[in-house]
Amino acid sequence: MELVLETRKLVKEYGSRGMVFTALDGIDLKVYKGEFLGIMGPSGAGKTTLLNVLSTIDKPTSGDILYEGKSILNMKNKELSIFRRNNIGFLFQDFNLLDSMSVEDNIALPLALSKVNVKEIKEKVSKFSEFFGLKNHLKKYPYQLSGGQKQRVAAARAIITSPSIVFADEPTGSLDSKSSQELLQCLLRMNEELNTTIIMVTHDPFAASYCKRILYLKDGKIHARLDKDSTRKEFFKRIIDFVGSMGGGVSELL
Amino acid sequence: MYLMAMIFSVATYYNFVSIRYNPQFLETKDMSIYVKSSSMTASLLMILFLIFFIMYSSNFFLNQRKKEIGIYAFMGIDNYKIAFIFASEGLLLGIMSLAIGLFLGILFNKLFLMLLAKAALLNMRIDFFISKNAIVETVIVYSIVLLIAFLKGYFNIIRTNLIDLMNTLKKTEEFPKINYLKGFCSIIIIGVAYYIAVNYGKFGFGNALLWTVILVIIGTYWLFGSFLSMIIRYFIKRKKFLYIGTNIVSFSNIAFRIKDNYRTFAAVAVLITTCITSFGTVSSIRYFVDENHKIEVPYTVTYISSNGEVIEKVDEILKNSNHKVELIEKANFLFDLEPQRVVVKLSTFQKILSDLNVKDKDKIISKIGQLDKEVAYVERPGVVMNMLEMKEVKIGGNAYKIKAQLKVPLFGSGVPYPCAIVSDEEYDILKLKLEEKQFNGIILDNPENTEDLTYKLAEILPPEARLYTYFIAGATLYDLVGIVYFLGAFLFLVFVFATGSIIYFKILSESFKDKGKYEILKKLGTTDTELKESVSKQVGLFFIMPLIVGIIHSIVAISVLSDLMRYSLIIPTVISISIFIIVYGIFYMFTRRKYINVVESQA
Repeated sequence: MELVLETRKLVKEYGSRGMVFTALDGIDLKVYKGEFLGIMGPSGAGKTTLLNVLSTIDKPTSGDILYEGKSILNMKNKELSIFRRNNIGFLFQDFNLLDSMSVEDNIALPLALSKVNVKEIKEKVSKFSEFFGLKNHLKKYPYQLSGGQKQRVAAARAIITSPSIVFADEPTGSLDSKSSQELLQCLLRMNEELNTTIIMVTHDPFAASYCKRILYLKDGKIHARLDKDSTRKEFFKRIIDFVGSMGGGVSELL
Repeated sequence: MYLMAMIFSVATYYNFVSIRYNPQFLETKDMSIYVKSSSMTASLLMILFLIFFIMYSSNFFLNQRKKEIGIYAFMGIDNYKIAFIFASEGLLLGIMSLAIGLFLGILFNKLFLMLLAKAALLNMRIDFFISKNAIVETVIVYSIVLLIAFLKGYFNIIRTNLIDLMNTLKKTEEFPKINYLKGFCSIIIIGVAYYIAVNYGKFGFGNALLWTVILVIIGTYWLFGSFLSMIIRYFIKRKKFLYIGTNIVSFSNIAFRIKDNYRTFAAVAVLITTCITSFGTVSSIRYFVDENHKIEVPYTVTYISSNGEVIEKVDEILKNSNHKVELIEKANFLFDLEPQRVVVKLSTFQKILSDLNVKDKDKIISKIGQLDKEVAYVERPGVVMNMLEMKEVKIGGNAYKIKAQLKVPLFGSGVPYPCAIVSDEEYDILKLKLEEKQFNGIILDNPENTEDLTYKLAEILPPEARLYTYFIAGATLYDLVGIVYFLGAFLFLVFVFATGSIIYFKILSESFKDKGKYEILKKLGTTDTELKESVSKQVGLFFIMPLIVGIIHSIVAISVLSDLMRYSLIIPTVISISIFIIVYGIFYMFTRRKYINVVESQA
């Protein structure tokens, strides 16, 4: 299998000398093409930090991050931005759509910034809007859409550049359960039909049960790892049992 | 920035007022009335600007700090107390800028008056002078304005609800709807306004002016309210254009905000028009006066006399002076008393034109051609504007049609009357009814040093000879024009400053709203260069749209003016527009940098 992302002894520390807080403590990670990886863990375990570092928004204190075998740590600011635009897609909890643009323009934004040929942009926009069931909403503006629709727009924007990886940070965090389910179905289809590599950070065992593999983070370290081997329902049960066994009770972590 | 603008305006206001109380300026009696009235106008304009500016900026600050106010309110401090704290803060800032502004105003007062005197070509000594009256007046006026601002801020805060305070910046905005009817109407209204302005003759000047101003203002508001949205919307629909780099960001932002901003756009466009037009006018007048000098003073010395003895004496004096005679022009003319007017033969006119080597003389001569029962009419030297279109003149009881109205050098201001040029035959007929006189004009080298010569000639020439020299010409009109020009230019500067500040504050409040958008863009992988490019475009569009409209308005206004003056004012227009663009451009750079700082700073 093709290796997309690899980290070696990734460490991230916050604060100055004497008051150091270690958010990531030597993470070794390998992500292969077509994976749907979930990252779980209690608050403060370093999930979001890990995501930020992996997605090049933040820089690690030490260690290395390799994309398709190439290190990204010695890239300059500008290179990094362009790399991010072309190779990484994002889904955020609060959607992060630009409310001044129509759905169509929001989806087209990353390609427009890269000055891709207009015809090609239009083709891709129509292809992905169909994929995510947004065909009838292209001319609308984000404030006219429901949360689930907004997150699907964000998903379309995330994969329009055909990135090597899509990062999703609590994508279901501000959605109701029905919209959550719809969105997770979309992500699953993205993963299965388009062979998109997805890394999703989540609290929610239900959301996590859509993943193929789950890493459980605690105190900046990979504490455990769960692989999906049966149906989603059984996997869901295993996750709940596991989270329960980690102490603190299920209800706190749900 | 706020403090700077306030201090600047206080200092300026003090200076304008102090002119009125300056003893040296008051001594020059004949000038004092002009000085007083222009000082009044200038200070009144300053007050208007100040009221506008303070209201605007206090609103801006309030919006910026609503969250802070909200937190205080949340902690249980009642609205009255919060309002008092915030309004007092504004008051304190105001008092501070008043004090600093007054100090700087007094400090630079001498410099200001010296510049004024220099511009007005007044030969006077300016002493350092502190005017108590001016200080008192400045303090009173500012205190009133500040008090009003204080009360307004106070009541503004009292009236706000907690929920609004917490959510100000988060308020979801909706995409504006477009009123197509208004959009097209705005173009028509502006077109009508232009039509009225250009054809002021038909509607009467006062009427035309009033209606043009009203229609242009309405049209401009609608233009920015609707028509501009239509244009921007068009660009947004044209994906071929939109999907090129950062266009997508800048244009979407502008389109989205246009509803909030169109009033500012329109106000700025009107201000720009006022700015350029007023500066264009004063510099046109100055330019015109310079040009007109040739018409008013084509000769170094002129007098009217056919007495051989007198002429000989004058020639004698000229010969003994250290000047060289370059041209002696002698011409006969008829003098009509009711109304006062001179009549000249066509052949004499042609000879004078070629002797003076007037620009385009062949064109003028061929334009007149042969006259029959017609005349060519030369404006009185020194006429700045002519609002009447004449069709016919009566000379010596006979009516003549006017074939052409001209502005050319002829006798100069020594004979300060309009002149009718008639055919040689008609001249001979009119000669029987009107008195004939002889005009003598002499051109010397070094026309500047004719003071002594003027006094010598004045001794021997009788008053009816109407002695007029280069020296006399210099002493009358030009100092007044100098003052007008200086104050005009100064007001221009103040208004540019006002315009710039308004846009600056508006765009800055935009930048806080757009911060979130740019943060998203950064996360999506927008490089810093692209971010800057996008901001430059957005801010640039913001600056350029009112500029274009303002320039078009003012070009129309100045072209009407040039029609009134019968003079091409292209050069002063170009100069005033370019000066404006330069100053405006500096504001753009400044605003752009600030915007980028806001957007790039961490939340």
